[in-house]
Amino acid sequence: MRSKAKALTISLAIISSISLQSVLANETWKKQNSHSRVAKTDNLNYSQIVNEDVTRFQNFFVKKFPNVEFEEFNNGVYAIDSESREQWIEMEDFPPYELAVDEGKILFEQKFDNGKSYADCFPDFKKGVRQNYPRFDQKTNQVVTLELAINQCREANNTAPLAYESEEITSISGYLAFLSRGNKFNLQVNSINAYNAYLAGKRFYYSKRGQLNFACSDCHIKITGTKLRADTVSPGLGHPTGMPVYRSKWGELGSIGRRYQECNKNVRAVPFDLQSEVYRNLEYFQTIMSNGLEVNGPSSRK
Amino acid sequence: MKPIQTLTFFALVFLALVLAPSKSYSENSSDIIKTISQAENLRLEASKLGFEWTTTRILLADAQKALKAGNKEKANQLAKRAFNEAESAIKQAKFAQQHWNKSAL
Repeated sequence: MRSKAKALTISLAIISSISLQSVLANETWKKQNSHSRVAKTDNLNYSQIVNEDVTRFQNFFVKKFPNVEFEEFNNGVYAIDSESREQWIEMEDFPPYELAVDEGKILFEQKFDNGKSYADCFPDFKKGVRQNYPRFDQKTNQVVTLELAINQCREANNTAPLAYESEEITSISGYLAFLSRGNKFNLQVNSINAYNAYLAGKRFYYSKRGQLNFACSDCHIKITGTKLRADTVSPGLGHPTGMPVYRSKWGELGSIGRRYQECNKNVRAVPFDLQSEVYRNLEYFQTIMSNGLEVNGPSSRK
Repeated sequence: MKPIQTLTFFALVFLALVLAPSKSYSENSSDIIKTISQAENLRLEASKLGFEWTTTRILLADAQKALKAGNKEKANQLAKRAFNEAESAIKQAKFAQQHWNKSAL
């Protein structure tokens, strides 16, 4: 009888101990889970996290190229390659994008059928708007580039959007960039959705792809400043500031998206569509990394 | 070695060479079509992940062309290369998902 009671007591003790452990573990899990949920939504200061990224990114290039002034990084490879820089300065005497800027001005001033114009969509265009793009639109939950904003303006005025990389859209973008010269980029990430877009762009930048297994960062961080065949690899800092860019190879103005496609093809990765979400997020990340640099688009490159 | 033994030896070598089965291509068309189809499915998976390689489509197109022309050996080689490439692209995507942050500044 005694042994039965003893066994019962031991069993009860074990059961209560297990239950207690289970309750405690559940409570701990709830606390941890609740903490991580909150941390993922409300408690993080996205702006601060991103600004820390910006500081690390920019410090890398400042240390890597100690003889280059920070402000110079918006000149791409010409900030670090003195020989190419001389040729580029000579080329800038008669800028090859000049006609496109003039054409952009004419197109920008044209009225839509409803009597409105681009100026109604970009009221601050004279002060410059390029430095505000790409921006994260909370309403549509996406990154809006300047080219996308131009087309959104057309659609809002019952006008068909322009084909990306068409002469018209790059000229208008070039004109708006020209008016924004000297303004500094200072994009901020202030919401979880904006942060996720930023993070997607960052992830793309550091992910190896294509048959050659190269990430954007492999060329523009790891081996920047060295030669790839006859060309010096440009630093990753400042890439978007001179967009749209007139490339001698293209013989016309083109957007950063076109350049992304070209880079992807170079490493034998299937490129994404122009103005695809992937490339817009990448442009968002890259532009944020260039915060503090001046707009100097349109620019010219080899 | 006696002349008779030498003669027998060379005769045996000769017979072995003559009677040895000649190299023939054993893969049949349906197997090659199956490899092409599997490679195509993997290519699509790599594409969905955003990591497709430009070279895989070319290999697949060339494999189909070779098969149509009756060059089964070439078709099979190309299909297998396409399969391996597409598989590598998927591995690359999975690796990037887990490790991209390690190279971030």
